Amino acid sequence: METSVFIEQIREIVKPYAKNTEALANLNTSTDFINDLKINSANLVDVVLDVEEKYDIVIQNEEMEKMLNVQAALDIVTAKLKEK
Amino acid sequence: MIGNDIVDLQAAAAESRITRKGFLDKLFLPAEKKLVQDAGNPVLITWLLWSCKEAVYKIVNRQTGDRRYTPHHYTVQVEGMNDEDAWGSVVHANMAYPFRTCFTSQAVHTYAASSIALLKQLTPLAGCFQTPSFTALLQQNGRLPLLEKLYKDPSGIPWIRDPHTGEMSPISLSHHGNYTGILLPPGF
Repeated sequence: METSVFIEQIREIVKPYAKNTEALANLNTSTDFINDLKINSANLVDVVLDVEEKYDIVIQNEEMEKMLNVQAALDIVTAKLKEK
Repeated sequence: MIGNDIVDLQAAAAESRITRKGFLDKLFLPAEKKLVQDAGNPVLITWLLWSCKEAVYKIVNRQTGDRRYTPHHYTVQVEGMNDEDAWGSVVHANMAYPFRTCFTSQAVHTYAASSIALLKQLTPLAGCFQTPSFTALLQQNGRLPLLEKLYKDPSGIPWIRDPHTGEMSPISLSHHGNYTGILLPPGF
């Protein structure tokens, strides 16, 4: 998947949970969901569930562990889509 | 080491749909999920368990620097509960961390420590405070002299200085919605 396409899609996904609108506007692969977007940790699970729904994939606990930033999410989604 | 976490129940209700498919499965182990499902007030038990995991995550994160999102690595064992309190321990990597939770009508506040002896010496503060900062709040509470401030180490962990001995101790700060939780080290 093109990184720029993923950035736009993940921006829509995290929008309801992100408390830092500036970081949301400047979203890039190194954006950290918690430190930069100020998503609360209970909502990180919503991001994971929304990503699962959007791409019709299942993210295992071991993969969820690392899903703390946009690049990690992109890596997981790309790997999962390849498996399909 | 110490950690605390506060959940503003009104904010949580607005921010999280705990009934959405997969929510409980991703956050909780089977026994914890059963505790939620069997509860008279599943919302309260959800946030009790979550705040326990978060409070102990803060301890583990401070000890190891590990930021991984691993709620399933934290096993909450509730030993007792009434309308005002809950207590028990959270097991992580074969270590048991005792916790205590205080319920109010609007918030769930959990604090935890690396030992029961340490837990007993801690002072929790929690409430709906209209103050701009943790420092201002501690000053208003008389826990911090007016000219004193909190310190942050390079990894962002807050410390407080004992005004009498000069000794620095880690303090734990939590904020959610309109609620603030603070856990003071022994001696404060």
